[in-house]
Amino acid sequence: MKGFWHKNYVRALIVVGFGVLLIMWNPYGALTPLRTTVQTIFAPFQHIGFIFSHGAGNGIAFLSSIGELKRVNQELQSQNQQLEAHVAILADTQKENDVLRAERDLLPRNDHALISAEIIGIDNFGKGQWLTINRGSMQEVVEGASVIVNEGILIGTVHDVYPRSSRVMLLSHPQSAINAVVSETDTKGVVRGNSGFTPLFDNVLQEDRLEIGEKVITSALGGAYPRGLLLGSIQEVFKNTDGLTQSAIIASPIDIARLRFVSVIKE
Amino acid sequence: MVPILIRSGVLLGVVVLQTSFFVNIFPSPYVPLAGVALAISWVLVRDFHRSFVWLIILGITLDIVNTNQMGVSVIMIMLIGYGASFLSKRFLTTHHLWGILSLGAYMISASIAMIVFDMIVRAGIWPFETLLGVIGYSILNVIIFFLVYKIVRSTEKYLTLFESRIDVKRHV
Repeated sequence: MKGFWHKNYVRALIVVGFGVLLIMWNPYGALTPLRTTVQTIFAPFQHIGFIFSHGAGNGIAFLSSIGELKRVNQELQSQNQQLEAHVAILADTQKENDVLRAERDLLPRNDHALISAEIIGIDNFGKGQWLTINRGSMQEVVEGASVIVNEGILIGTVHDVYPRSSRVMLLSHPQSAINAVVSETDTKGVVRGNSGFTPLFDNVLQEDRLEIGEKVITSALGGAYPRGLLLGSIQEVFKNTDGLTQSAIIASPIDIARLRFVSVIKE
Repeated sequence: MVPILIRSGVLLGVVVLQTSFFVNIFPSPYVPLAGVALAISWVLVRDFHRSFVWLIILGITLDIVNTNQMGVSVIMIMLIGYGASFLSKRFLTTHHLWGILSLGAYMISASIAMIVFDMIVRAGIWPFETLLGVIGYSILNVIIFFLVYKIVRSTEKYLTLFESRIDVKRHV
């Protein structure tokens, strides 16, 4: 009987069975101490690995993009001119908005208090559904905090917090769902993860008009996210089979694979 | 204590290589699986029985550092380790060239199986989009495998020497 338990296939099968139980049971809370210990040990090494890899990745990306530089440069110049025009209009609107807010006695919009963080790990299986950042509970990061880049583009939410690192669930994760509106028309919907692919702007009534290129932002409905964080722009619109709603594929302006720094919004 | 520290160091290095270094250089899901290479290398150099605990630790570590779904890597690393042990006993001892070829082929199938299993369990989707991508990914994984294999063989050689020295000291 003792020999039976020492057979390789028996031991392998026991571990596989244990693994299946783990997947089905998913004892999230019970494994937190183990997760915290492993993450705390790995975080500094992941940080070093990520710094080196970012340099190497940028070098490779630069070499492979030399041929396209001229075309991209022309596109950027054109976009820059358009953006300068937009900035001028927005500056004027801002002035008008300040005057109106003052007249109506409204408080100024809050600037977010941010915690800067560096990415130290990316989920390499699920088409990038998770990030690990080098800021944790010791730096006042809390579960549910919004993670943004460039002071206004939402990329995900803090899901797990460890002492010196945190795990961020990206918008593309299937469990991610954020109340959103189209900034141009105020059309309401929910931005959902799409199994690692680009997120979907979902639950939009069919009578609402969605145009390609329109910006989708957080709506602050439910209070989980501040209003006005950019989620992406509409890339493709399609009607759902229920006959009531439509959905749109959202393209984020951020390439997660090329990202190094993010900011966590303090609660 | 020294063997545990050295093997932990190799494990840490390989996991960091996979989760924090390769992810910026290769697009997902074509990130080479250094963890799978380590599992196969350990089984080939130390055999399945002696690597058993390390395979479990490697699987759990990959699950924690890489994703939030516990169990997926544990299952795959264990099956891949057992498969490597099964194959090595039948091919590696007799035909050297066939042994190397079968190892390469095994690394390719193990990596693809790991990615497919993970994506199907977690998201219910097929991960690979083009055949060319799969071929490139296969070549990459074979290269990584032989690099990791060389590292594991060197460290285990050193550890065997180290342990034999300690045995001699004890007897003296």
